[in-house]
Amino acid sequence: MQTISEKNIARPTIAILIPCHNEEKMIAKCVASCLSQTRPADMVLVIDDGSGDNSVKILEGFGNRIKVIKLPKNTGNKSYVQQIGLSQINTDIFISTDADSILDKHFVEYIENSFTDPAVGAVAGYVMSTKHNWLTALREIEYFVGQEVHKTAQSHINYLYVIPGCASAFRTENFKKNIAFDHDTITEDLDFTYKLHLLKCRIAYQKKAVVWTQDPADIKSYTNQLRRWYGGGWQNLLKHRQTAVAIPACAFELALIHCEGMLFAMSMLILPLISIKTFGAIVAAYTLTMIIIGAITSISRKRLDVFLYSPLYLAISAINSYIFCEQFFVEVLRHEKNLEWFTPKRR
Amino acid sequence: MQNISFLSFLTHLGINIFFSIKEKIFPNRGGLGTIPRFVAPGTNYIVSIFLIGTIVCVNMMQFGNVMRSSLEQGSGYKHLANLFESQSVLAQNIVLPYKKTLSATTPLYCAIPKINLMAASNVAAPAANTDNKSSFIVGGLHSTIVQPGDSLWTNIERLLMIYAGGDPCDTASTNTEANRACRDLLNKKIDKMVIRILEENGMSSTSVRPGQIVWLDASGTLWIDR
Repeated sequence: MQTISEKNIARPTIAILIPCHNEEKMIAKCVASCLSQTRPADMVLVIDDGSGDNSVKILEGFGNRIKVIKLPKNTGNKSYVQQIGLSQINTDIFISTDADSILDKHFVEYIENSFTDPAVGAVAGYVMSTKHNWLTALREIEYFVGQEVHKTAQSHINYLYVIPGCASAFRTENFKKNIAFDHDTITEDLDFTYKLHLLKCRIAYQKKAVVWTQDPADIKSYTNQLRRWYGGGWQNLLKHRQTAVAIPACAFELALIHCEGMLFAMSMLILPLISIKTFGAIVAAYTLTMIIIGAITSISRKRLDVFLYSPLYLAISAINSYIFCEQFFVEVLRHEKNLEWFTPKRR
Repeated sequence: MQNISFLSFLTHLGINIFFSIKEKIFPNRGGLGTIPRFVAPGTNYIVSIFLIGTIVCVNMMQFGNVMRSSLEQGSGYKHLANLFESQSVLAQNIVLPYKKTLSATTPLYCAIPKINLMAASNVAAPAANTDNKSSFIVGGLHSTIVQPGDSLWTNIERLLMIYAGGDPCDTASTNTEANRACRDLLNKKIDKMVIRILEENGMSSTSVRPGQIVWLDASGTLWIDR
């Protein structure tokens, strides 16, 4: 019979990797959440990507409880920083999160549990938006639907479209040897998810491993973030198009996300020009649906603001549609391949 | 990166409902995703292409149906016209001044299928152009007539050109830098169209000079006013 102490000895070692650039407002909370886990991480590694604010000073305040690597100048791409961090990690498992995110105190514990299955190569956590204003309330609806409906369905058919960059965990050796953080797309999380699928790695979806992230609270930051997400989505589709024909579940998801998404986005933009009556009917149906979904999200999250702002979802959907089409034009038709990162406004 | 679109949402919702029922009836029997693992190598490609094809076809049909029903209501151009008339820079600076030159009782959008723009413009229509066929001024502003049977996009493109018709410098005192820039942009499109028609008729852009009037007669013959 195995004793508790023997079990502890057999536990895998876990590191948390946090890339950081000008995050003086959030980094302390992020690191504090990493250090107050029910299952303490064996290593918390922060890579400062040439911050010009007080981030480094704040990090130094944590003393030797964390390891900090300071890069002399800003690399301008998160994946470079992550790759440098990865080279410093020798634990069995590593968790990758963002400096603007806060881990639930059980996060590491649930991640560790998911890795007890040796077939699991990576784990996707659950992302929630920190409460701030109408924009973050509407983002919460997106997260709720995206994770409770889309991602849950994807986990049933063994094809998670993306492991969120702020809530991801991997087997270090496998990641170093076969995957790594590439720098040729702007969404590194989507890139490594495609690679994991091609390697036939099983990706577990752990809904209990929760991360709160700070989403954009103004339109400029919001649209910048969308440009990165959607642009990166198209970049990765071009880069990994072979995956779609090699894995039927991938084909299914990509057809829904990209083909159906594209037609939906185009309909949203063109229909008002063609027929106000048809558009009005669709708007009414869509808004009603979103109010119902908003109510469900509101109850689930215990957040009244989500329900109150849900009738505005159509506005966000129109912005999403426009940027989705715009990035198709930029990345697929013009092959501009934008790899530039931006720093969102923090609060 | 997931648009909350109806089909994607309903499909994923359906998968969730299917699996929750399946789990209740046959617990722990594995997921749908295990099915492809049992089939022969290479089958995955066929399954993938089939899935992509099906979803694209269903979507195209859905999209087509919405568009068709919108057009069948006969309101499409009116709304497009209203939109420009009420909201855009085009409407404020180009469309409205130009519209004044048309019959006050005939809204522009109603007349589109049969209007002869040359007759309404401030440029005298060539005699050979009384048959309501297309006419152009190279490097100028006057465009074409929408023909029955033209595609939606051709019509919209032409509609935009028609709306830009009538030289703002000639017609009104509301000329601004904005409408001039807009006019220049549309002129480029019109010029491209003229060049295309010239090429279709065995000529090139060097066959005509800016400002020269070009038109097609009823028999489809291309005429150049020398």
